[in-house]
Amino acid sequence: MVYISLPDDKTRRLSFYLAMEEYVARKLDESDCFFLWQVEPTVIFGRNQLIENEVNVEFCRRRGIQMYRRKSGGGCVYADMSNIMFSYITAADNIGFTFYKFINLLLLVLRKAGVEATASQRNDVLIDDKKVSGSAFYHIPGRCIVHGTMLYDTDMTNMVGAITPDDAKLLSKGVKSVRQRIALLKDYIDLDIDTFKQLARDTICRNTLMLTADDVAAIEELETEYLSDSFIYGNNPKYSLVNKRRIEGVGELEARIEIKNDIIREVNLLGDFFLVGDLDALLKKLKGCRRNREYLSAVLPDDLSTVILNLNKEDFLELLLA
Amino acid sequence: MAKVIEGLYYSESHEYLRVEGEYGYIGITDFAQNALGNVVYVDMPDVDDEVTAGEDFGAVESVKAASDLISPVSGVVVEVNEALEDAPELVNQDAYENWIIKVSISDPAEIDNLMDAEAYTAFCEKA
Repeated sequence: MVYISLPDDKTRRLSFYLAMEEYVARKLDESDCFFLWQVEPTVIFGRNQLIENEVNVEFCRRRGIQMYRRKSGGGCVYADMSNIMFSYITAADNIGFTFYKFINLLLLVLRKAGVEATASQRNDVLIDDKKVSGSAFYHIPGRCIVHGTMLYDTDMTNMVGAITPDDAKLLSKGVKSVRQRIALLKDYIDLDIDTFKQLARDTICRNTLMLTADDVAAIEELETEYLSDSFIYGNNPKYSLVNKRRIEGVGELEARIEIKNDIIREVNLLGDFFLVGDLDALLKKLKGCRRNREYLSAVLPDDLSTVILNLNKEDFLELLLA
Repeated sequence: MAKVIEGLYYSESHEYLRVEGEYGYIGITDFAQNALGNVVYVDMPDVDDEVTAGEDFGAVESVKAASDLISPVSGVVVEVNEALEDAPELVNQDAYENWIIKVSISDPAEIDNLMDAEAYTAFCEKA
């Protein structure tokens, strides 16, 4: 196994490391490659996940947590500098066997560090039945990319807040329940994080391949895809939202919203409200808009009571954005 | 033993092509669905998107992995199998019935680069 190292040791954003995996898979001839990396606080969601179902975007913006989509499958993950990412790229098409090899590498490293860990059926690595590592898989013809987390430590408030609803009460409850389900490596080993990383590298790899400045430039070129809005937001599957709300003085309103790639395709409004103007013309304005407050507020007229009796704009926005 | 159907064309990345006139139906083979395991999402292009032989046009996500879909031929997407949006597991039930995209083939000569059922069966046995 070859350790792929970068010509410098600066910390890059997560998208770079995803592009680096892809670069190694697509461009290097080596058949078994491995590298370790860490990132500043970041949320990473799976290839086909809906960002708004998985990520508390507001919370992340407020706390400076970056958000990226990966090309591998699976669920949403929070990572920061106290989490170590393991990337394994191999010339193989056999997903089951490659996963097995990867998980066994993780177990071997942990054993060398003095911890007996086990693999769950879902390819998580557990210590005392608590999750310390989760993995995801991306297959391109001829190459498999597997990457996994290794939780040395974490900012629990960030972790829970970034991937659950924005509610202070839920947050403290969430922290407690997550704390019971995950294992932090620092509680099980005497090594500091850098010593552990070195142990992992020495256990898995015999030699090193140092990438050149040209390689880095090519990786940055690949990275642009991971940074594009259409990639980060665009893989959201088409879906329908049904938002219901009772608005005082207006009635019971139900908005059915058809969304694809975060763009509103169609809005239907049902309910017992009193129609006084052209509803179709109003709803048409929403087509093609991004479903966020700024966009919607800009396309809607300020006075909606000329269409639906007593309806004010703020309530209508709440209905659409709920 | 994975099912292989006579009369279809196959790629090394385990997609099949069923040709009907100027159109082609593209999906993943039985071998591929079996290797991937339970499919939970099929990421499909939009109608009118162009696909290129040898390049990815989407992905299949299973409980194990996300795997790129590579187009066996070049063309323009004329239809996507919308049933897969709600029921991706159809790919596991019958990979050949449940094609993923229908394309209008732009260069029929590319079909010659694909394997027939016999060659693909041999290819799978080696894998």
